[in-house]
Amino acid sequence: MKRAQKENLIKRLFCLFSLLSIVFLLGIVIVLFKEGLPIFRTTSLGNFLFGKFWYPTYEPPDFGILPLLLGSLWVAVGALIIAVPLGVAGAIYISEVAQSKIKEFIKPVIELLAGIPSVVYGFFGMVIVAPLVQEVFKLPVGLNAFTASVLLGIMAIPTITSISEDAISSVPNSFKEASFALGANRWETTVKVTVPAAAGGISTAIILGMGRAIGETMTVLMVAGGAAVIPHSFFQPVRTMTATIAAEMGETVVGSTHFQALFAIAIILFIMTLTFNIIADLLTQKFRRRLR
Amino acid sequence: MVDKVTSHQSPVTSKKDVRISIRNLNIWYANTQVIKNVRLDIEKNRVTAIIGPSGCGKSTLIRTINRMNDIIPDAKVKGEILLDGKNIYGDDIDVVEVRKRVGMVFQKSNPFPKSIFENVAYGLKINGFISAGGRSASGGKKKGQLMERVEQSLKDAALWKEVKDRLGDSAFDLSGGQQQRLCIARALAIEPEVVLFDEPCSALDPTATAKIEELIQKLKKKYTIIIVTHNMQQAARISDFCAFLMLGELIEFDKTDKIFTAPSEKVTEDYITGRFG
Ligand SMILES: Nc1ncnc2c1ncn2[C@@H]1O[C@H](COP(=O)(O)OP(=O)(O)OP(=O)(O)O)[C@@H](O)[C@H]1O
Ligand SMILES: [Mg+2]
Repeated sequence: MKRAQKENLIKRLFCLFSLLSIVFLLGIVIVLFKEGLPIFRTTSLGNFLFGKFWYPTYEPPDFGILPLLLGSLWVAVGALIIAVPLGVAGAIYISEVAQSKIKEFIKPVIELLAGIPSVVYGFFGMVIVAPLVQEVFKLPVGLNAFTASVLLGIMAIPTITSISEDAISSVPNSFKEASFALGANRWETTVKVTVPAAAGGISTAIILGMGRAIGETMTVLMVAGGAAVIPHSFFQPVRTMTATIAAEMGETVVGSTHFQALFAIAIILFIMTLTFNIIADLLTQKFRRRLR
Repeated sequence: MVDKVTSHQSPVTSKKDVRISIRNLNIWYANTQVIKNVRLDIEKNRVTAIIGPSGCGKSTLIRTINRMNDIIPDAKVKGEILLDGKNIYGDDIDVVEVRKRVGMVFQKSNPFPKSIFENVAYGLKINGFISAGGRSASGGKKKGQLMERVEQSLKDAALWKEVKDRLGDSAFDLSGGQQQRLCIARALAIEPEVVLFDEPCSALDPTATAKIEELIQKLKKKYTIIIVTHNMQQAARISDFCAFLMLGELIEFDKTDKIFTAPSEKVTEDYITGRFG
């Protein structure tokens, strides 16, 4: 075979692979919408999104996902409150402060954190974090939004840290030199030049972390408490959208309204994560253009 | 060559005109010595050019004058650099203070990814200047001066007219030559005494270069200037004194006229006439 032919073949092969992943994605989206959309024949979109009650097995059933939506948001926002400061501070420490030896130790450790299966986090949460939370805050139960936030926060840290760290360390050295030459010290340089220059990348990291927290299933299923009621405090048990799908899918009759409602939840989740990813992408592009 | 008398004689006429005095300066990167026993007197309100073949240590030398080499972990400096008689490598020296007194403009223009205004204001803000609307932690003495100083610096850098209506625009929207002048304005804003230029025109076209050269000529009234350049004509045009460096050694240092018309060393002549380097 001639070289050109060979290269052509390889090119086509890769093209085929990437087409294949698009086909899979399309397939998933089509199934999602085909199974989920029929729910809107029985429940209006408004009632679905803003209905306060999720009683899928009552007669007649209530398919209001507001408690689940809020559950997801509370837990995710709580997770971000924990993960953003820690994750970004960690990234600053790794790229700007730590000596190379410490850096070489910390980076893999944080990446390891990302590799732990979520069921392990859930287990850790049930056995250690939840009793601790119950004890410290004198609560009837330790499985609640707060506990879930803590765990999701820990889980989101690696995402936030590693993407932020990439952004911070790719800030050109010449910016820092210019800052030092103007009499700024290291701290001023980090806070006023390096971190703002990496702001695009850091926001991307935060949004992807948010996506991760919203999409996480197993851990919240295990530690969030599972009550499908509108949360009023962080110390209440909550149920997220993902946990609902995971917990109830096995017990529904295929094609029933409950089944359709769960698929519709998945559609909402899909739209949310898609939005996060698009925003993250736009930010990354803007960031690249700004630094050229 | 180190022991040659010529390289130790200073062309600077009076001791009291000396702003910077470099004494027996040696610099190493790890174990490689790149500056060897350099002695050099820099006169006040004059332009001193440093010329020499690539890799001879010009950047290294000029960067030690505001201690920018501190940032490079394995750089080692031995010797003295006296700024107004005080050794900036002494024990009781505040590096930040040195850098405020000795400003620097880099080879590649490096404005911050901020607005034109913020670029110039950066050094001022670090030094406690605040905008008219802001509140000062340090008593408010410098209140309201920020805008004035930014304007003055941009005027000094001959950029004001071109940017006065677009101070809020990103610095990256400026042309290469404008960006370099912005960097000059930024360096001037904190009113240093000495300004170091490390090949400030190497990335610019002839028109932009001419502008910067003209600017440097003007700046020497207020500042002491040291400039590294690869361009012989540029050194001849704008400098009063000229130091020729080769392989880390100072071969010759004299009035620019003398270096370009009657150099005392054969290598200097070879270099400036373009026979090598
Ligand atoms: N950070 C560094 N670490 C190790 N060696 C370095 C470092 N910076 C420069 N050097 C070496 O020191 C020598 C002098 O470098 P320097 O940059 O001062 O030369 P220069 O005269 O400015 O050259 P040019 O005209 O090309 O800019 C060179 O041999 C260079 O390889
Ligand atoms: Mg150089």
